[in-house]
Amino acid sequence: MPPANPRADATATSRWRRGLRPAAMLTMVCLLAAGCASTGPQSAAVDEENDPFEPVNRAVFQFNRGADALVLKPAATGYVLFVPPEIRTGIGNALDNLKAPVVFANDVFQGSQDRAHTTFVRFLINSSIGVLGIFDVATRWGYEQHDEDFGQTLAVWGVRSGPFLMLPLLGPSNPRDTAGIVVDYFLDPLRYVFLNTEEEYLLDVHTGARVVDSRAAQLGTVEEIERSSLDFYAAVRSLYGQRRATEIRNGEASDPFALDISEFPPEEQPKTQ
Amino acid sequence: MTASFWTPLRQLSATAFCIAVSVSASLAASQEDAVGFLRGLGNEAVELAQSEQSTQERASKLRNLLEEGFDAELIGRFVLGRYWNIASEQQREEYMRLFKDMIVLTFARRFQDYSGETFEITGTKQRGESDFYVNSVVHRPANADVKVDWRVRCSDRCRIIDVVAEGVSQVQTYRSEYGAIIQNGGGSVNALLDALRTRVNQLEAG
Repeated sequence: MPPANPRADATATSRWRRGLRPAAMLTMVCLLAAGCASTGPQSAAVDEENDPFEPVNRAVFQFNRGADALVLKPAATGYVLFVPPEIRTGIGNALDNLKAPVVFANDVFQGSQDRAHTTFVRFLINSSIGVLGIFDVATRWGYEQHDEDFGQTLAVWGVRSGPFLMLPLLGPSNPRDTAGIVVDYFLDPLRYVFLNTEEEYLLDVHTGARVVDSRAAQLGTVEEIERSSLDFYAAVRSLYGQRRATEIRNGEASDPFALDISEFPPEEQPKTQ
Repeated sequence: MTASFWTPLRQLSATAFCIAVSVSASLAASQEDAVGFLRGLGNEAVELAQSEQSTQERASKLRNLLEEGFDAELIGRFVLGRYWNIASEQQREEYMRLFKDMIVLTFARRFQDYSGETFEITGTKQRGESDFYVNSVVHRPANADVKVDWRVRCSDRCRIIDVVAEGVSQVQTYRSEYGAIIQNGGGSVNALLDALRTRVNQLEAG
């Protein structure tokens, strides 16, 4: 699939090259993702997990769990405990609203006009009537929120995920989505707004708020998965792959039973893969 | 001559039409069946979760409810995937028993944590001949809503064969996970049985 991608990557990056010092690094990560991608098989809903670095990934996973238990989970628990739900909803809405420019850019990169329009209108409504995004008025008016990121854009452009990676602190990923994180980071206009004011620390406040907000949303869910799984790492790996595949298709889940044996009569041997 | 040639054909097409109509009628019916089935099961589950009963009494009722509502044989077999073929008869039996136990115990825990969640059916989508995805939204009092799709297969009767929460299939997750355990255990089904046994014991101990 690669032919279309390098060119698309190049236009995407050249658009941002002026005023962007780390553009070279960004391109490198994109190439890295594309390079890795050409080797591994697509990991949508296949049985063999593409995880050649499993031992390292498992070690990083243990480290992440430690960091979560020590810092992130207590912070998220405290946040839920001490901040009333209405205020948390407002903060979550405002953070979603600040993501809109990046979501919009990726809507455009993926050529989804309707979704780009929705994101644009949402941003206008919520930033003004919704008071800096604190109130999600747009959803009530029929403009529902959706997420996009550059990892998904790369997938839509045909770049394959490459092998599973467990990133320190950032969690489950793969080369494609890692490249996506880097691109989105530099794509975010908010970053340049903060950097051009004297209030650079706001960048860290924003990042911290996002991390705590998203961990708080997962409180209970993570524990539930851990409790019901025999191999937590393998469960998380599968969840990540499925979750991303669904997001890339904008909400449509894959059909596991299409893999093999849904229809076989009880005594018949199922087809092996 | 032409008439005698065409008459059976016409009859045939008429029959085919009738069959087509009755098939589509039965399909339309089973879409409602799927929703009705799930709604009934959901109400029973919520009732059971809210009821004041001893833990044991509730556990046995829950087991009945799950056995009635889920096609555990099919799910269990799908989850084991190609390893079903290399498993001995004995291993298959033990696996099925442990797998069912684990599902019941996991749900029992969820029931203990029940805190007023309600679920609302928002749509259905047919998949293949007898499968339906019944879309629902689970409203949680303290948290954001969760989109849950129930894959229901209505052959002789309706039963759940998969639960898809926010785009993540439960059976696919089990399948990947159990496959990983067997692979890391050197391709032996016993590695999985050991892990299942340990977990079931843990869950039973509370």
